[in-house]
Amino acid sequence: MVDWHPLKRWLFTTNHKDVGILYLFTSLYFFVAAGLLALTFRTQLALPSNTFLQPDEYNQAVTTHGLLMLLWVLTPLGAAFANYFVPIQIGARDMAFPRLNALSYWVYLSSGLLALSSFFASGGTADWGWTTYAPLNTVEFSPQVGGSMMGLALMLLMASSIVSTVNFLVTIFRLRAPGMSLMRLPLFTWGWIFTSLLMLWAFPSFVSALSLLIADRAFGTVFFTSPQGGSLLWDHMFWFFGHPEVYVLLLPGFAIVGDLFSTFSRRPLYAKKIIIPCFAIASILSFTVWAHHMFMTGISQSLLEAFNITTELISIPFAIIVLAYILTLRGGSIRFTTPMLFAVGSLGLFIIGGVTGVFNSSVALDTAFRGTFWVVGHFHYTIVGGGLTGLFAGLYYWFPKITGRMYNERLGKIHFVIYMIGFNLLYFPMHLLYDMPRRIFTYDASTGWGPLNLLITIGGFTFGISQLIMFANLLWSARRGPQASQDPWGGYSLEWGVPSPPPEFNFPEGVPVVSATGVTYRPVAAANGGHAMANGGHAYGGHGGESSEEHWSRWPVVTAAGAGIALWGVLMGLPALILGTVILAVSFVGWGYESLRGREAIEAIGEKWPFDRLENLSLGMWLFIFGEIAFFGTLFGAFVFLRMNSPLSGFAWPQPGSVHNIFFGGFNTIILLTSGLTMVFALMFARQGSYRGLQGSLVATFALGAFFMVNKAFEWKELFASGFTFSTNPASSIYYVLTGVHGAHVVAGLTALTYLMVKALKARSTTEAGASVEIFGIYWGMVDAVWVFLFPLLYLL
Amino acid sequence: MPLKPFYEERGLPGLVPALAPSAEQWQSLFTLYIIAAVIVAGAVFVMFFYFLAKYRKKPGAQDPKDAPRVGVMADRGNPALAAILTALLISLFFGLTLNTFALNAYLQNPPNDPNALYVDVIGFQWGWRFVYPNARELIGEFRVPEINRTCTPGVRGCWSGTVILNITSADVFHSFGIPDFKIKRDAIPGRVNQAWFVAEQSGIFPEAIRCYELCGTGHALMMADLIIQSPDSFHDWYLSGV
Ligand code: HEM
Ligand SMILES: [Cu+2]
Ligand SMILES: [Cu+2]
Repeated sequence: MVDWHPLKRWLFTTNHKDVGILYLFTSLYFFVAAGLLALTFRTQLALPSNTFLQPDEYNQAVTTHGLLMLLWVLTPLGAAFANYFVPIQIGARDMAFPRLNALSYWVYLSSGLLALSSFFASGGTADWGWTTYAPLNTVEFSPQVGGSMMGLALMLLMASSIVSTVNFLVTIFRLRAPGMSLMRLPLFTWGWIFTSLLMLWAFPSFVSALSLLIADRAFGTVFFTSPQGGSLLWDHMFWFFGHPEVYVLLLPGFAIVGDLFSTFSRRPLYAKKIIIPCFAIASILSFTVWAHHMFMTGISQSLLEAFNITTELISIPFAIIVLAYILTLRGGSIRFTTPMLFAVGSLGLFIIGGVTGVFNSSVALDTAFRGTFWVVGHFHYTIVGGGLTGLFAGLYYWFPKITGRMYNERLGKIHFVIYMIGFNLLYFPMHLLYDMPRRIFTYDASTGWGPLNLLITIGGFTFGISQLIMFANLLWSARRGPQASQDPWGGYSLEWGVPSPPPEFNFPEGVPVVSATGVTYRPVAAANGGHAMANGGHAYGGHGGESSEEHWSRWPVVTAAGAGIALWGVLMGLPALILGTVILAVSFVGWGYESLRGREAIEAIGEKWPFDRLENLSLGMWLFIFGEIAFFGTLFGAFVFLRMNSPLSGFAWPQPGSVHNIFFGGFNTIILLTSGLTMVFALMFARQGSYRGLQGSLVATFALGAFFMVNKAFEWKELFASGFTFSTNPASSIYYVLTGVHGAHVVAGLTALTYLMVKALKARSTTEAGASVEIFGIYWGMVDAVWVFLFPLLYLL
Repeated sequence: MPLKPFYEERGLPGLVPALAPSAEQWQSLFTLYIIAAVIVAGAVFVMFFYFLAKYRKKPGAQDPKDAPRVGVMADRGNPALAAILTALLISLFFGLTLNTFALNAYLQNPPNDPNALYVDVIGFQWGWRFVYPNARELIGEFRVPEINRTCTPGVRGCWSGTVILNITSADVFHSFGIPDFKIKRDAIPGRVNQAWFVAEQSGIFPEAIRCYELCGTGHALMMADLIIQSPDSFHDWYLSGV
């Protein structure tokens, strides 16, 4: 479309469709890597007492397979489609924050490379299973540096995903075309809304669990080595993230299946108005079932029963959705082309996975299933059978839209048949191995597990090889396939109303206007009286390349590279750390200069309900804070857990005032709260247009924040001197982590404040800085509010 | 006179012979769930495939009138169906859950049996240590008495066959399981979890005890043999080592 040098296009693009393609290739690359790992360890298990892999190699292969498939394959594959199609489906010309979108991708890639490189660190990578149970994950039992590297890679990936979810939610809520009410959004976009919300709430919890783990591994805190925290602390924190995560994996593919059932049966979705609330209910309930992964840990009987019931309840919305999908077919005229075949396969496999899930919900049946191949069978039916198969359906479905060419239908059908045979040979027999522990690298012939395992391995290779047919088909067809029409399937979402592939700004004929009778396109000027032009000069349509000049940025890739190199350096050596930090610093300055040119000012002219009154950036900041609440909330949860657990395990939590200086802490609290007040003043001055008042109150805020940090440093120093160190006990560990991450937030705030002050100083006026001051004010308020909880928790209780 | 090891008698789910009351009850609960699953999933699949076959595109057929097109998806569907399905599922789950809770209560609460044998089970990298009330210790092998219905309550040295395990770990997270008895409980450092069973028949059962949580490179080999003896021979062994 734009005749850029390919290197410039693919490295610097901020176009959501290009970013989507980058996600697509990268996630499929990780799919192949993780699949090969699976075939390696399936080879080991094919025969009893096989010696193809060493035990530690087996454990690393299983762990990396699981982590890659879940976090670097499935969600990013969904993200690939979401990037490409969500903006088009809502009738927007790009994401709300295109540069941040590119940043998410590059950070994702850099985290993936970091994860892969951990394989080659001495001692290998993480070998504790994707669930990373404590205390096997601590240095005492798993000292290898590759394990820590995997932890950092996960953190980086979480950062990428959180930024991305904020971006998507703002985009979907604020950039919809006129008439595109929420209820008119296609199911895929709805699925992505809930996926994003789940990620926004669950991923920060995982970040807090990982923070404790990394603190244990790097600074010697005692969260997972002490009996007060230990295995159960990790279990709770991990599975609070872990169960929502499995729905993150499922929902995108599952939503695609709904859209495809409707499209290919030529019938409207049955009860879409029920399906969407069911997604919502399932998403909410997903945060209430985590302890079904802990049925054997010895938690109390009433808790077991409660989690048994919530787990059963969560199957009800899914059952309703499945029924609605099936009823969609009634009265239709079903075309069984490849996308529909995969959609049918996905639903069928998901039903089986859902049924075995009800077995798992039974706390009594779980005495047999926990930790066995039954579980492995169950979750592959849901996330691979349901999720991945649905995404593959989407891949075939959207292929003509993305490439403008048709894939080969016959090869697609062959792929489907072999895929289904391989899949069921691979995963069905696992249910019969409900005595065989999972993650064992060998078994004796006398167990009788040999024949089924051989079958499973044969199924694994069949399944793996079937994917080659798809890759060959798609790669060949992308160049040589017959030209595809604009709408080969008769789809209903807006991407089928634009050319294949869509032009750079998606809607060549103007702003799509959706109504009950269909979509029309309004030329830009008529749509909003030329208003869009005032907003950063971006118009729908984008004839020629008038704004594509600005559709790129060199900083996302640089920032991501810097972050990856710096994290690698944290573990592997100072030179890399310094190099990475320098790159990061340079890129930050670069971002600052760019944003002054107002690159992100793509404004919506359509539907914004229910967030009509918030600017994009403020909504983004509020969503980010929503994530922060999950982050700090989980850390507070860890505090409460340690605190409640200590009398039971014979540890006397220090009395208030015995360790911490309450007076000192109170003094610091007042300082921080005062800085909140000066920030309010800054806002008021910005509104009134008083430049001097604004600059003065920003400086005061900065000074108070810095003073807070200096005090904090003194406090830490004194505590250390008195023998209250990271590793003294759980109370000291959680104290340092909580005040440490809070302090990091203060420092990040001070950095942003410096930006603001420079901005205001340069502009010598309040207009430039006004909006940013408001957004910063939200953040600073959050930092203050967190401290208002922290202070009594740490000093007074 | 050792019996055949269990594994030679293992079959597909539902066919495992009764080896202990816990396994027996587990089997019948599992069967109940299987029946419910086959009926429900069967009905769903029949409807699914019936629709797929019946409504496949016929040659020359026109699209239905309300077929979706770009920007338009008609609204349809009957919300009452969702309510009916919810009610049906809740009543089904109600039945299943009552049975689950009954078995769970059985598994969770060892009987108040004065003639029970209490054993401390300690998982370590990589093996199981069994500590008996008289401080006898075994590693890699677990001896218990089979059921003895003639025991007079309270008589010392008369083992009823009830075995109560206090399970913990010396290092990392393990999970203690006897698949043939459908008994399992996590072995967690710093915590003691209880499990219990009664064995119905004596015999030597190699590698009948396994670890069910990844615990390092030796996880696959973290096994112990189960030796179930007649009450008398168990008692002789029990006293012999002190
Ligand atoms: C070639 C295809 C695949 C094969 C042969 C395969 C096989 C397996 C097997 C046998 C295990 C259990 C290993 C054990 O417990 O010892 C496993 C674990 C796992 N698989 Fe797959 N799988 C495949 C594809 C996938 C896909 C596509 C996903 C997800 C999208 C996935 C996600 C997982 C996860 C999360 C685990 C758990 C890892 C752990 O235990 O830490 N797998 N896989
Ligand atoms: Cu779960
Ligand atoms: Cu183990």
